[in-house]
Amino acid sequence: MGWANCSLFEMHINRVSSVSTDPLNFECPADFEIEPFIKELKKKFPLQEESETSIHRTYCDTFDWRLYAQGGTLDIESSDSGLRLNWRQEGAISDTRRIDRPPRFVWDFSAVALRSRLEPVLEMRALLPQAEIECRCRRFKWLNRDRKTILRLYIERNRVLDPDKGQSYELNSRIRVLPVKGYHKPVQRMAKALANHPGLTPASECQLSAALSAIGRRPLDYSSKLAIRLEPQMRSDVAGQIILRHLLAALKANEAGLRADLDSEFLHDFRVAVRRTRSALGQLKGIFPPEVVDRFAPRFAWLGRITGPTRDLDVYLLNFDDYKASLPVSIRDDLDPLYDFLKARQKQAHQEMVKALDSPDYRQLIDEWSDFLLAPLPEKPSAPNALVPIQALADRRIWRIYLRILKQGRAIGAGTPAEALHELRKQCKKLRYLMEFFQSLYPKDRIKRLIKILKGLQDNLGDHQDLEVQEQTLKAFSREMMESRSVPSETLLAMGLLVQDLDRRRRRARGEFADRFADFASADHQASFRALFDSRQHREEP
Amino acid sequence: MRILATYSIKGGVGKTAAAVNLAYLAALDGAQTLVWDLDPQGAASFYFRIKPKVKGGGRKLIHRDRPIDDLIKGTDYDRLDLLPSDFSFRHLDLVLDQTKKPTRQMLSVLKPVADEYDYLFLDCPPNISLLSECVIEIADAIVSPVIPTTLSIRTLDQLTRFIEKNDCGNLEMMPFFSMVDRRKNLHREVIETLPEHCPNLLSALIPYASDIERMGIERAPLCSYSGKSRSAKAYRLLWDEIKRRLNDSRAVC
Repeated sequence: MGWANCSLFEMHINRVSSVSTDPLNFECPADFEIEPFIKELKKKFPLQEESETSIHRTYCDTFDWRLYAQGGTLDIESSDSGLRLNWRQEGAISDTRRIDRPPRFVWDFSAVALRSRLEPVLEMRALLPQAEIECRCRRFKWLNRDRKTILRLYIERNRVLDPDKGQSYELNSRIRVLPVKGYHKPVQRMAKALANHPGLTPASECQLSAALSAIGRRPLDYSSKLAIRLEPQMRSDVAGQIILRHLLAALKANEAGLRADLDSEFLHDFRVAVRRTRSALGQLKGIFPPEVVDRFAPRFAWLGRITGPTRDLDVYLLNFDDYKASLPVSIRDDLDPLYDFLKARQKQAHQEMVKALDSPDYRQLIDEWSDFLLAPLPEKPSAPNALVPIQALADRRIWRIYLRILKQGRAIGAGTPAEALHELRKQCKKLRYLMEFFQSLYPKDRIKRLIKILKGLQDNLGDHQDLEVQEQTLKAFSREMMESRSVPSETLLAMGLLVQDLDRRRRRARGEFADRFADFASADHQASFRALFDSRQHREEP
Repeated sequence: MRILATYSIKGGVGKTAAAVNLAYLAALDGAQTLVWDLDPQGAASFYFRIKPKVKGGGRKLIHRDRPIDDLIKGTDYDRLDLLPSDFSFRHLDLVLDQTKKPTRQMLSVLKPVADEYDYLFLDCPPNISLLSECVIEIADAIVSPVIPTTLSIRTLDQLTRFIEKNDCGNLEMMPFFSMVDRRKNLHREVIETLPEHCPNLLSALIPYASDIERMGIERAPLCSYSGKSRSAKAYRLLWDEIKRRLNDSRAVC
């Protein structure tokens, strides 16, 4: 993992010995008496106290901790002197600047270098407050004979706020040494004095972990990736419950964010959880009684339907910059009314979706589903595959879908209608979900490699279908816009060109399918799939 | 890293005051900023309360026997650092003269910190020498204070011709009026007439003011202790104008 686990003490020693401007930090014990400490310190060093300040420090990250996962943290400090943004990597400040307002998305960053650094990491995700700290800071400076500051020392009292409970908790006080570049000796002297002071312990520059742990959380407490641990001999119905519980947790985790429309990924992850749930219900055949599947499957299909329109519009909005970039420069701005149209539609669709989620149907579904997944399983279940070891079931289901994909793919030629590709895409999704559910049952590197091979084919099929749907929908939108006479003709012209470009790209994706499928179905890859999933009992010729 | 040189052939025109205050404002805006005090008199170092002393002197610095990063000192202000002056800098010409390609050598001295800073301000000694030739060749802009007097305009002409002769590519010449005393007829006249002949002249005017002179007593950038004064506001206008000019020239490039 990132810097969070590295030896803090080593980090400090390195920073002191190298020519670094990074601060040094010490944590005080809970019963630490500050005044006698300051008195003693002033006897040893020519420290001058400046005015006390209060700082509200907010650690921001995306819901899925994209910055932290990359070894970075971003905090925004609000004080009398305004707002300051600090970007730290591996625990050390690598960018700090004044800002007018906190950035919510990566495109709100005005500093070009930082924006380009964070763009591929944050993508479309919003920065949300993950931890908030109120800090009272007593500031001291060490002046030399020229009254030049050669070292700064801050003593901070911190309280972490828990917005859910409306409470705050005291963290241990911290002492921060801020070296001034080019003045090493004072840092070494101060660091030594503090290190030798009874009770003080070296601490991380970043308070995020400490703050989260005070409110019972930890970093990386959400990820959209599935990490389900199963045992090969586990009963299939037990394993099924575990998988579905994971998916329900993901669904619930994203609900608040998608209701508030914090960013488009909440809805995306929510819908993925719904699709995976439907896929699990359909694919893990015979592990639950058929009436369970009948009771829940149609309701999850409904959940997929009511969230679909908002997601489609989110995708158009996310693609909008690419749409513009695909047009000749001179007419790019003509497309802007389409953005307003999409935005208005998205808002409306989102409202309707929230209304559906507010309905008793949704609440009942989640409650009943939750009850089912937490209920103890019968010792002698009626479902035929409930007691089958999950390894056997996983092998069998994956191998069967894989064979079906090979068969369907081979039947697709240059003139085959698009429906066949759509059908193939669905099968690929089923296979992908199964491989992800059961990852822990197979050697990590081998299953990851096969998922990657499958992804290559999925990307092509996905592009083909997405482009086709976009083409059709944009045509429908342009008809609507024309009838309502709400947009200038230039916009419709630009949309016409856009549709042309989408069509060109769709045909290109269609043209590439044969090669992509040939790669997926190569003898080498087939052998790899066979070796991993074709258990002896179920050997079939592909 | 954009390199701005505060430079004039004539001395006592407000070069160092401009370098110190502009660098302070750049850092205040959030840019990582470095000032290199090239003048052996060490006025910029004095303003920042930093000893005009470089270990190993100018020779070791230019010959890269000492990494530049080890010689840089942090000022009392966030994001603002100084490479101090040294009395040996009076021989920098000689050191550069003994180097094969002096301009390239200057650039390689700066290379290790080029990614670390957004701006480098070179506070140059007042003369035309090999050092000033190097500075003109490596700078993106020459920020040149001009007192609105006949003699100062003559030196501005000299500098402009010198730059033209040296063919400095995209170098932006940014002269501005400094030490302006509006009570003097000559100052007012020159301010009115010069812009016609000198289209790249910046419009901000730095006044002749006692608060700027007080920088020697306060030993700090004027904008740090008297940020709301007329002079501080004039430096703010000057810096905003320089930034705009730099952005425009970048767009053209």
